[in-house]
Amino acid sequence: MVGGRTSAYVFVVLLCCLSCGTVASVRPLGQGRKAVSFSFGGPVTSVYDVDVPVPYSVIRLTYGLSKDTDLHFGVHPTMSLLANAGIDIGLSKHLTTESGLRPALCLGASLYGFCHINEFSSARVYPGISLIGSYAFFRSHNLLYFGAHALMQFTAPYVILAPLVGTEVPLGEKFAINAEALWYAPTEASKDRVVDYTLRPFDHGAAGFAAGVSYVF
Amino acid sequence: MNMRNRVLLAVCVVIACTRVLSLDDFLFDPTTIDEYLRPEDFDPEWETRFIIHDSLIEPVTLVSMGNTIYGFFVRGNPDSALHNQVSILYFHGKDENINRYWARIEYLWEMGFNVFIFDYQGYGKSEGSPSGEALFSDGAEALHYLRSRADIDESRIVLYGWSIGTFVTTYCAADVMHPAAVILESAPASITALLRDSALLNLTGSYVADADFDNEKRVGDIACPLLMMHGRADDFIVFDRHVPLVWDAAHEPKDSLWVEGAGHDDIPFVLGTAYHQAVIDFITVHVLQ
Repeated sequence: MVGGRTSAYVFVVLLCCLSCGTVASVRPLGQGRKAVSFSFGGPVTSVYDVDVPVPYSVIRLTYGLSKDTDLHFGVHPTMSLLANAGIDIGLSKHLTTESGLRPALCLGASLYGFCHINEFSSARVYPGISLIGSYAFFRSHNLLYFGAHALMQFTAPYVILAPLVGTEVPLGEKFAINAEALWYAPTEASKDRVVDYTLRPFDHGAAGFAAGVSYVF
Repeated sequence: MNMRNRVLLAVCVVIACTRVLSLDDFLFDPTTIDEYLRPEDFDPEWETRFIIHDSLIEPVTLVSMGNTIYGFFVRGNPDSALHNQVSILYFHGKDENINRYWARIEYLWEMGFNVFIFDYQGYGKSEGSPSGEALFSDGAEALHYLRSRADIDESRIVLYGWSIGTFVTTYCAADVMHPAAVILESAPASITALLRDSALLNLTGSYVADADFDNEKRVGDIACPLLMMHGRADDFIVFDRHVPLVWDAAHEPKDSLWVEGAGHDDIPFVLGTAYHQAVIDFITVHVLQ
C-alpha cells in the first residue's frame, strides 16, 4: 500500500453488481418465448495502466410469462471465478407501449444474491428495481433506451443508483446486441477511493460501459 | 448440440471455473533482488544521511513455511539514552522489499531502539510467494526469532506495522504473543473495509481475498498499549472510512496521533522530530515505566 491506490485493487469488479451487465429487458419478449443473453462490462478503471471497463459478466435467461411480463434469471460468471456464487432473479413488466413522444416503459424488479462458497455467513441479498424507457428507430428495428437501476441495502449507502443510456441492435431474426453507457453511483463521492476510477463525472460515482449479445429461441 | 444444451454447457463451465481466480496476489507488490543494498547504493540522496554503521547491522535468515526469509537486526544507536532497552519488530508495507524501508528503520534506530526488519516470502531475497497465510507465518517466525535472542529484553518487544504490515502486527499481537506495546501506522481496517470503500456494497472481504486481514477484529484482542498514527490527508486509506473502525474496537490504554497534512506514506517525514518525540514518549510511558 505504499504509494497510494493501485490498479491492483481490482476489487472494483464488484461495483459492477450495481448494474449486473446490460438491462434484463427493454421490450417484452412475448408469451412463451425464451431468450439467453451474455453481457459484460463495468466502470472504467486502470488495470495495469490500461483504462478498461471491468469485465463483470452475466449470463441471463429470460422467459415471456405473458405478452407484457418477462421472468429472468441470471448467473454471474465473474463472481464464480472468485469462488462466489452470484445469481439474480426478477420480473420485468412492460407498462406502456411507445406512442409518439411517449416512450415504451419497462419496470423491473430483481433480487440479487451473492455468497462466498466457503462462508455461508457472507450471503447477501439485494433488491433492485429498474425503470427503462425506449424508442424504436431506423425502421423500428433498433432501440434506444434510457433509465436507471437502483440497488438497495441495509447499510449506507442505502440506495445505489446507476443511470444508463443504451441501444439494442438486432442481428438477423434471432440475435441482438446491446451497448450501454452507465454512471455508477452518481450520488457517492468517488474521489479518494481505494480504486482509482478513471471516469468520475463531477468526482461522483464512476462511468462505465457494458455490452451484451442475446439470442431468442 | 441445440441451443438449450449449449446454455447448460455454458452454465456447467461457469460452475467448473469456480475458484480459478483469487485477488490475493493483487494485495502484494514485491520486488525480488539478488542482494540487499545500503541505501546510498541505490539512492544518492542517502549518501550524507544514512548513519547506521555496518557493525550494527546483522543479517538474519529464518525459515517460514519451508522457505528461507531474510532480514536485518539493527542494534540501536549507542549514543541514545534508550540504547538497547527496547526492541522493535517492524512489519513493512506491501511494496518492494527492505531496501525501500531504510529511512524508517533509521528513524527508529536513532531513537535508540533495536529494530528487526525482514522481508515477507516473495519479497527481496526471501523465498516463496506472498499470501495472507505466508505473511502471518513470516511474522510469527520473526517474533519467535526476536524473543529467542539472548541479548534483548523479551518483555520489551514492541510490534510496529505500517499499512499492510499492520495486519501482520495485529495478528502477532493478538494470536501469537502479547508484546509490550503495538504501533499501527496508516492501518486499513480490513479487507472488508477496503472492499466496501470501492464497491459500496456491504459485502465481506472473503468475496475477493482469502487473506484474513482484519485489524478491526484483532485489535480488540490486543492486551497491551496501542499507538495509532494516521494521516488526515491519506487519500488511500481514508481516515474517516478506516480509523474509527479500528480505534473504536481497541481497548485502553491507547494513544492516537492524527497528523494533519500527512498522507499514506509520509507520516514520519511530515512530523520530523515530532515523530521521534511521539514514539519515544509512547514507549517511555507504556514500556519503560
